[in-house]
Amino acid sequence: MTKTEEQYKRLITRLRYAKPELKRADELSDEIIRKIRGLRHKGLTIQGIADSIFGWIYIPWVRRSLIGAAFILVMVFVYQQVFIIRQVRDLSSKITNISNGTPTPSIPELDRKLTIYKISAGLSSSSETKINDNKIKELIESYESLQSKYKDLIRIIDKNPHLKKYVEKELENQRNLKTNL
Amino acid sequence: MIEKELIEKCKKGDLGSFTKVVDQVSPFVFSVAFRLTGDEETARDIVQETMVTVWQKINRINTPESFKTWLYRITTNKCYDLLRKRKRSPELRIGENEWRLLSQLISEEEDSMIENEEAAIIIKILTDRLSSMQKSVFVLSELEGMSADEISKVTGILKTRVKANLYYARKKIGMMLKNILQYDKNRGTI
Amino acid sequence: MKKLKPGLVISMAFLMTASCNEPKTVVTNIVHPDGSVTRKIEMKSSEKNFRITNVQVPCDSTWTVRDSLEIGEKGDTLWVKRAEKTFTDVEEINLAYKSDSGLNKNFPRHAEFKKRFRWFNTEYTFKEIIDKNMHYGYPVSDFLDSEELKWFYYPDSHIEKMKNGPDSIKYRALNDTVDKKVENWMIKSLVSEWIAEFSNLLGENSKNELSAESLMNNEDRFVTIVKKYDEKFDSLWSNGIILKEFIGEASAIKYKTQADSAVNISINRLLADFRDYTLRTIMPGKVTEMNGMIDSSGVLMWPVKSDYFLTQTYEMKAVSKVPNIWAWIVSGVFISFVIYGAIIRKRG
Repeated sequence: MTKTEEQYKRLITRLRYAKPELKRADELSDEIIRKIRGLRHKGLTIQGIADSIFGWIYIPWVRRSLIGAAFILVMVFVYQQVFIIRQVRDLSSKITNISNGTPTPSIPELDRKLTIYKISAGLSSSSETKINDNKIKELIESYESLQSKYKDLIRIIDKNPHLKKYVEKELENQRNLKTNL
Repeated sequence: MIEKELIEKCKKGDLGSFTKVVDQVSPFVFSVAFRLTGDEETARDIVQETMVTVWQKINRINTPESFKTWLYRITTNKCYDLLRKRKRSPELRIGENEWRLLSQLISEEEDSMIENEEAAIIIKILTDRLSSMQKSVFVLSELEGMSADEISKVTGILKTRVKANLYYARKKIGMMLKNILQYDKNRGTI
Repeated sequence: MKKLKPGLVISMAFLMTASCNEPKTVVTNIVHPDGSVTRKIEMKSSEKNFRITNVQVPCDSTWTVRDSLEIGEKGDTLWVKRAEKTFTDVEEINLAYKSDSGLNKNFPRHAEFKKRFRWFNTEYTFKEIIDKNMHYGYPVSDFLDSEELKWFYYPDSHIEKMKNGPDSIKYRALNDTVDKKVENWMIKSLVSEWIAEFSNLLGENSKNELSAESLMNNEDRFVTIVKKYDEKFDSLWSNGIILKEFIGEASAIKYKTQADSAVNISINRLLADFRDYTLRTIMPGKVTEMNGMIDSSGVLMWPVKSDYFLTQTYEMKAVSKVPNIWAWIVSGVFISFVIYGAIIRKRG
């Protein structure tokens, strides 16, 4: 042991055995009891309320259960929130933004439907097939609507001599083209 | 330390029995508080606060052993709070009296008595550069003679941390002693 | 019911779809946390007089109807009819579906609503489901890859926009590919349906070569025959030539009735007369899961077309979560209480 260590040990030992002396112990004791009596007279103190509310911390199994429950609650919260954030993030990467619009039958869809109609009509063994009354009604309505639009169109063309001449010329050209073919 | 019957009577609200408890434990509490705070009046205040707290929460105690640990804990916590609140004092100046006292303590003579104020000064010199936790651990271990296990229960910190704090406290105090003694030698007093 | 020749059927189909005078319909479901649903129908047409009672979803006199006029994108006048009704729960919606007398009454549909309490959040699930038409068809996902499948489910307006926008060449090529594959899918599904129905009708009468298993093993061959004859198919079938090629002369003669019945059943399922519309859903809280798209106003939307539930149930699903603030507060108070208690104990 070095000299410093020896001196340290000696110093500590002397300090250890030199216990501080409590002077006027009775006075201190009286002051303490007086204070406690003062507290008692005040009735139910905030400390008392706190003791009632937090009394459970001194019962080991209650304390451990509550801490466990709090821990589980925190874990559940974190898990749920992380899961939701991940779901929303995955969703935003997958979603497709579409401009507003409602479905209209496009030409390719029409081609497809026509093909299916052809095949299905062929598969039907009899030379007849059944059709709904409403469909016929719609057909007639469509036909009449197209007819009236066609008449309007002819009227517009007739009114304009230049336009009429141009349309007749184009029709003639198309007819000649078909003949040549 | 305290008999179980006495604790039971205090739980029932017997102030007379509690007075006996106060008489028995106050010196012990004062010793810890004084060594930690270095001031007599402050130590008395801490004794008062500790005993009032003990009275208010005595229902939580079941055995005399747990009473002792609990008492230490309350006292240490109150002193610890106080030490943390205190602003860091300017560098301690060691005067002639302090030198003489130190020399006396570390010399071969062991018969002389040490007064409270003198002990406070010495402890202050030795622990001046320690943190609040290091000081608490040092006092409880070196001066109160508690084991690392007991200190861990009282302070609520892990045993390994207790040992670490004690190690650093001893190291710092050792270095300080070395410097002091070297200075003394140069002055020719030792 | 009238009986017409096939050629006329095709012409009618062409005329009807070409005229395009049907109102464009959007159905919006606003789902409330208590399970009630406010349904809104919006129909837009360039024609003035169209009926709202004949709508793609059940709509009757209990609905509130309003008329208005709007100017369309091309500057044309649009007549708009809007109808609204609040259903107390999905059961009321389902009852309306069951007693539907509208355009799509022959298609079994129902809605589902679920509310699950998850302490910190409440999870709401809302679905509209349309049952599949064909029972033995193939899922379209067997024929299309993920990109093609996405394309398949796009609304037509979006498809047109992409085909005419940047990368139009790429999207047109994709569109052509999807069309061909979808056609193939439909034919295969139709054939599969026919085979299954034919087997069911044969029942115990079938011999080994006409057992269900044997017919299914020959499915690909039959599809090849269908594609091979293409335009001549109708005349060759009427003469029984196709059927003979498939199941042999003797069986073709013997089971012609069953074969024709099976064909009728299958075709009716394939050609189910469903009127398309768009379905939108607004959910309470934050949407966390859905299998549709989002339109320009940030609302979940699904195009509803007959192709989508031809061989599979079409489920339009949305899941959302709403935080339970009171649960957060209670949990926060409880956790703070426990932490404070632990601190007090430590301090003694």
